Amino acid sequence: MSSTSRLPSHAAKLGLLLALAIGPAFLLLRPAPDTEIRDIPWRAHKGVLQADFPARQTFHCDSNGLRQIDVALVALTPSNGAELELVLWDENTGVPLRSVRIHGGALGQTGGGGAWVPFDFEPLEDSADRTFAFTVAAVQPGAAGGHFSVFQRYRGQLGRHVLWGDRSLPVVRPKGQFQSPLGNLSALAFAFAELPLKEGAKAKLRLLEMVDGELVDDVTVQVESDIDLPVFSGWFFFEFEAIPDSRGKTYQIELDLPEGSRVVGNEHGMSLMSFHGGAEARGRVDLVFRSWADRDLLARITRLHKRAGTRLWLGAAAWLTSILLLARIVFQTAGNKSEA
Amino acid sequence: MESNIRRGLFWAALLHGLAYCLLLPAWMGEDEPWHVEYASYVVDGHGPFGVESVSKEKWEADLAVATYRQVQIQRRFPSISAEAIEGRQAQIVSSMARESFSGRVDWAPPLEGAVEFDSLAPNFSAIHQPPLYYFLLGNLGRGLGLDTPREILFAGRALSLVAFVIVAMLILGIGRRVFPSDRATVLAVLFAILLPMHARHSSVVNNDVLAKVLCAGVLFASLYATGYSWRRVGAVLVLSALALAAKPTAAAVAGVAVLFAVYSAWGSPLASKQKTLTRALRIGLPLLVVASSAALYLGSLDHGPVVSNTWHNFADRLQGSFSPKFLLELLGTSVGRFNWQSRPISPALVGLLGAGIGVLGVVIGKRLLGATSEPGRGSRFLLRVCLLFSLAQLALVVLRGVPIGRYLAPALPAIAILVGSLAWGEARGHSSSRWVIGIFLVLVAFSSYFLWGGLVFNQYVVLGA
Repeated sequence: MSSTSRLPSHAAKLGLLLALAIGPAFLLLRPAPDTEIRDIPWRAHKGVLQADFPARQTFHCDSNGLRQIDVALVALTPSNGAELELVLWDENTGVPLRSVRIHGGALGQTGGGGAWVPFDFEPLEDSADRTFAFTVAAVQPGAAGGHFSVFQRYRGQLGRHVLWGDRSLPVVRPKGQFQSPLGNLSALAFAFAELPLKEGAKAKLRLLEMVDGELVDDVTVQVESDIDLPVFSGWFFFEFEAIPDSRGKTYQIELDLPEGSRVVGNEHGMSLMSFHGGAEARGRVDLVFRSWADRDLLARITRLHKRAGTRLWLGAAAWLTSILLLARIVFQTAGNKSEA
Repeated sequence: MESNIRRGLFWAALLHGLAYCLLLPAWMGEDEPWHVEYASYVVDGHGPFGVESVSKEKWEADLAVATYRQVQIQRRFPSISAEAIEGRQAQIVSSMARESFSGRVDWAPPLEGAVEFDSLAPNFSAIHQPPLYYFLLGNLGRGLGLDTPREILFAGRALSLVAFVIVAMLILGIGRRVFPSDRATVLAVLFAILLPMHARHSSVVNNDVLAKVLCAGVLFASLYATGYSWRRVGAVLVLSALALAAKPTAAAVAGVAVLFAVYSAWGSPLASKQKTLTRALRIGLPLLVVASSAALYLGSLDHGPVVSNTWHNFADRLQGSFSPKFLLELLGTSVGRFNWQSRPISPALVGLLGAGIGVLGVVIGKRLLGATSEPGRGSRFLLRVCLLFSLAQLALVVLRGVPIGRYLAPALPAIAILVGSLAWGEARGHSSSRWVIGIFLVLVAFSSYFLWGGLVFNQYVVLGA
């Protein structure tokens, strides 16, 4: 160390402290969703929400002060001031906790590709480590209320995607062909102009493998799905045991649907999406949403520690030590009069 | 420079890089799965140097029965079976799923149950990259007896940390040659340590890292000593060739080799004592080697980093590259992107940083190109080499038409030296001290924001379910 070195000025020391504090301040204070089900881009809307058939989603909340739920929504037809209602439930007791109605301008931006619509409510002070459910439904019954759809996300990998077509196919047993681009085929979603809910009726799917244009004898997949909500202009998912060797294989699709069903397609056949993923990916159709809680420093630090573990603190120590070493060198060389 | 300062800079570089290694989760460096896959085949004992040349007919016939990716891999490693490729990719994708990859990378699908890279990005691979980096990492892994892709990933990250420290130390060496002032040298080194996107490279498995070390080596060999010797010319040429064998984006370094040959044979004070023919030979031979090697090299690439196949493609690239969208994207990916570039820093901050970079560029350019007696003739030439190298690297990225900031990485040592020049030259004494402290504080603030408010926030706080 040079004998001509001098200590840094108070301004420089203060500047260093402020510079060091910027990052941690952002880390701890910047808003972030408590839970987030993400899908980019949004693809599979569930169909028109109706007053009697709310879309439902459960979720776990990490923090206290749950105060807002954003739902990915799209207006499928002009809304004319229709309203939507979100109800927050305690998943364990089934007790409704909050109810929010949204109308007019907040829903006005949901045309085209859709938008996040925030439903904010009085914060739940004791929401940490609790499981909730929310439902979203139209307020006005019948056609007057049915304009909006939520988006769904399947917890798997998208393979084939035949876009929403320009025509509906008014047959209850539509057939088509499909070549799987990936292995582990585990779900197929089809576009429906209408899939009615009828007592005891189910939607059935059969997949038969084809080799050189000929059907093989065995049925590869046969699945019957309950229709929990009637679908109007939305995608409906059939999940089944994953087919590990599906890559590159061609299948004949056979659907058996309730009377009144209308599948959407184009001149080549049905609109569809294939999803791929192992057995653990079954039963993973979620709504696309995110939830927000009040700022909670302790919850933020706990979340950081839980996710990053000891590495967080070791990394912080290494980073801080390196900056202090550099500061010492900078102040030493900057204060060295022999340089002037 | 006192030895405690040199030691301090070494430890600061090591600890700073280590912080990034600790805080960046596995597989969170862009393209790491593909780089690790490539190296893993070398760990298995396959040599990466023999790319099989195939006819168009064979290529199309192969594609009829295998994926594009498989065909590419089997061209480089002909003895690998399709099953082995699928098995390795399933291992890697499964490891990525366990590390919440899709929760962190916004565009990525949930990877549970995925068995191949096509589930993440169809037809994408690193296998077309030059083999040097994978040869090194693969043989390191072989020597250490590594088995799983995750182990290879961490070996690669350790290599990147070592590379980060070496780059800082090479900049220290270059600075000591170029600047007689400790302040300027310290400023250059601390810039290289604190610049966030470069510091993040200390924890990422990527061949850009090796290209950067070798480019720093070329600059060091070119600038560190005065005078001409065939040994030094040879060292510069070999290092340049190795840089190109690490990553095609290092192409600008060939220009440094040429400038070095020209200067040391013609422009340096010692050169004037040589005969004209000797001097011409000393320039001509390296030029010939560089030009012929460059032609051979570019001809051997699957797709050139700079040269398009057709004039139409080239014109298209150029048109796109001068659009505001391209330039903003290049700036954005140079200053800060997180989670496989899926999450940017705020546009306002990018704008502010862009303006700051512009102002610094103008100040540095004015100093180096303006009529001034300081710095001295030799150092001024060396600084101009750095300026030319940096501009050539920028030109390569623009000509390539891909706005990714890390493609500028080979010029990082040259840029650091240019930043160091702010604390020397006309701005001496008290004003240079203010430059050093001012830039240091700005870099600390940005590093703090980048690491904690950006990287850690996006990796650990915003995690999709």
